[in-house]
Amino acid sequence: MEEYILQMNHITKEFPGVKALDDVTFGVRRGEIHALCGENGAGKSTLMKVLSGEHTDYTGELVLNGETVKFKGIKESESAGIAIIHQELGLIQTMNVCENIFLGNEECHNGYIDWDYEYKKTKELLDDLNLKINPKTRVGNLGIGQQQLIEIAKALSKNCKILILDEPTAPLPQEDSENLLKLVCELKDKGMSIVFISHKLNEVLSIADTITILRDGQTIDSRPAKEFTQETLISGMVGRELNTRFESRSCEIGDVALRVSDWSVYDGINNKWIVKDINLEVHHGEVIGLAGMIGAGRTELAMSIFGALDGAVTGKLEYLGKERPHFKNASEAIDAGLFYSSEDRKQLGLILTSDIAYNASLSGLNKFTGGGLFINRDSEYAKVKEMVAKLRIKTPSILQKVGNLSGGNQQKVCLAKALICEPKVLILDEATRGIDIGAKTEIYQLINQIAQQGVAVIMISSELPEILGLSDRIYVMKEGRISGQFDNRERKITQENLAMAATGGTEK
Amino acid sequence: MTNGNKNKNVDLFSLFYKNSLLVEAVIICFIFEVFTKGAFLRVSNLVNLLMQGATCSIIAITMCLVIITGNADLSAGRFLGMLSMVAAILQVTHSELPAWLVLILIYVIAIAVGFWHGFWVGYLKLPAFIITLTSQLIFLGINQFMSGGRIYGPVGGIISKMGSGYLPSFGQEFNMATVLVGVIVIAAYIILTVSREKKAQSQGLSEGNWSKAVLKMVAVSAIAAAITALFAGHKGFSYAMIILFVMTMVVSFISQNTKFGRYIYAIGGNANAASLSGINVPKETMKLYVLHAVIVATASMVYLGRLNSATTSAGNGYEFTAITGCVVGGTAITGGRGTVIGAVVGTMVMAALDNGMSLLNLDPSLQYVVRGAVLLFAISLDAYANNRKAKTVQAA
Repeated sequence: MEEYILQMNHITKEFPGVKALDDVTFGVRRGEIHALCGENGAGKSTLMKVLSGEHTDYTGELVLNGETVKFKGIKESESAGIAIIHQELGLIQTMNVCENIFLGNEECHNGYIDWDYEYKKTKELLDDLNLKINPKTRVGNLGIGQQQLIEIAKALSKNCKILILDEPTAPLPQEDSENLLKLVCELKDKGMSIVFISHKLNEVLSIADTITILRDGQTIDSRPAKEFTQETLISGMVGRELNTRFESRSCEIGDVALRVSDWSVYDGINNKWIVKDINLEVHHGEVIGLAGMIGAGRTELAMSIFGALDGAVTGKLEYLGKERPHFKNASEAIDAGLFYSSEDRKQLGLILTSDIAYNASLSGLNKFTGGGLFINRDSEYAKVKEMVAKLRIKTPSILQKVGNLSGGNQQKVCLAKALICEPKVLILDEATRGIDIGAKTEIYQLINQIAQQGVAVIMISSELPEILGLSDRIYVMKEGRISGQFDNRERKITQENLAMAATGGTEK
Repeated sequence: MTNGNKNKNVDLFSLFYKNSLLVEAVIICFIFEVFTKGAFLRVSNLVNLLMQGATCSIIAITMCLVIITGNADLSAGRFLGMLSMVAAILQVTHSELPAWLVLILIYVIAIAVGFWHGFWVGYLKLPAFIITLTSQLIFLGINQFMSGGRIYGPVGGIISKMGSGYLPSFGQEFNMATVLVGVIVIAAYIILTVSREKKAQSQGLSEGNWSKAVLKMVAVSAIAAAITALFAGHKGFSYAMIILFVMTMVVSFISQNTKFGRYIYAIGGNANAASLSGINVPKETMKLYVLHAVIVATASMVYLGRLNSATTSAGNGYEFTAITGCVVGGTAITGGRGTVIGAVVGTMVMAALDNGMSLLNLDPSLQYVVRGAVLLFAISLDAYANNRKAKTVQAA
């Protein structure tokens, strides 16, 4: 048996005008966790698409188990034992766990689905993974973390030999991430070969056996993980030394910009309180962090303040020093200077089929009508161009379709859209999810600048380092309630403090 | 290297798809010209065609925007029928009322109906398909109830003018006013196109492909000149054509250059994202339905003025012609994509199809089959092109 289960030799893949992969060589040994690192656009996803057969017009050689292969589609690579779990979940929310796992591979006898067998098999799979989930649970009722694990179970049901995980922990809070990483390590112990793509370097360093760094479509480095440190990884990925990721911010913290008291949200359809008795305030020039696990109610809290949540909302809202009725809808909130940038940029943040200029100016069109009826294209385009330059959005033109941009650049368009509205209070929900370190650092600097101009920023994030590095005060939510509140002006709070509050609930 | 070659090879399908409207128009003209032995392209028939097509084309002006928001209006045809009946009955039974007053009343009814649709579709978020289907029945019922199945007419005053009036001539045989209007429109079009292209280039938003722009400009100008010559030699521009043209331009401008227009596309592209971007989706939807009802009311008056009488069957199937025209003219039936001008031209092409089939004395039952087939073809062409585009690597 060869040492390598998979070798990709001298892979070159061109898109018109761009070399997405330039002579990349990548090998995975049997039973190892091989991490693939690189900034967005470095070619990781393209490389994996070559492997899965989604891209067929490449040059180079693909060797699986010592045999040269060329897949024509996902079905072929799947039957050869390669399974990819994409960033975006591919489960059908309205079906149950078992139905999802066997979707497309139903076990049939005489045209009937053998449900007994499928449920039994699902139970076994779940037990193998130590998941205490009923196979008949609707997937939509599970958290994102558990859904991610179901995806893995689905891959295992197809008897895969090589499992590719593309940013599996990006949407997950700390605890779920740890569960997932533990599971990945267990799979490795059972002999599975795993390719692990992640932007979270501490994860990569803690679980990977080998690390390959891609940059601009080329292999920069491929060595055992032990030889890397966080710093060498980062410098390999970005090609330059990144010093302090979080710059200190020196600005006056002003009056209260927004305060909610006894804020509760009741979801009548599912019959439960999703946000309960929240007291929270944010001042001008201040960044507050809102930490907690997925499903803790952070997004729901933000959306309910913004007036965009269907549900019974009660509580007192004080805005810019005055008590006022709740915002009825998003347009009222934006007119008043409150902007919420969604965590789900593809479904809720952007109109992917439209161009950058269109998206960026959509919320702030009033700025370009001069009080009149018609939009002044010149001033609109000038402003968008200024934003594209300021946020360093990589694009050939402001008329580029947003759907064609990378995740990081899409996120920057969301930010540009918020900034064009010149908000007084800005809520950023997972503003750095799934984007590379270079872009993250830029967004951090931007948040600092925004706060320095006196904007009150509420930052919702599942990445504790950025909450700790940027926030003056931190609220932690758990099951719809505030479970911890920390003063972080000295930047002395630790991840453990927050994790404790998010899971255990220590009052402080 | 392979990429360079690929780009140079003319992609026949996408070339056809991009110019499908033109190709279809030419094919239709050619076929009918041959089969009608030259009757189709006769001046009197072409003028007749444009006048007949004006009604549905006016409906298409806002029908396409309604489709772009991801909604529909199946009641447009029966609504047109009902309004023309109301106006005709008023003209006949209350001849003391001036026509302009009747016109105002018709617009008031239209605005109310716009609010009605906007309320159900926009605010209560019920499917537009069903809501407008219910009003289709209601409008037909009201029409039959009011008329008792009788034909009402004639009509006079401004309503008559809207449908069958012509731009006054200076007395010559050749209508100089029409020529003047045509020349001004063509000149304005050329100046606007050139200045827009120049500006786009100075802003770095266009590649500066002048030959393509000029080709299109020449083609459009030539067609406009031909239409002008056609009318000038006949009786001059009819008011119906002028109404169609002005409304098309105004709504097209609104759709491209106002917040309202932007929001229409945003709602169709991604209603959830639009809502979170601060767009009041129910309100914008209601505004659009009101605008649409006003436009349909205008179409109904043009229709009534041309035929000079109202019947219970008036407007039957007009929404279908308009929707087909929108799709043929590049409006995506799934929403988010399309243009007003494309929709209007598309509907005119559909009108040409209807006209040609009537000239051929084709069995009406067969005409239905042909129309259905054309809509199916247009939709599948759009779907196929999208599918194909999704699978084609494009330069960033």
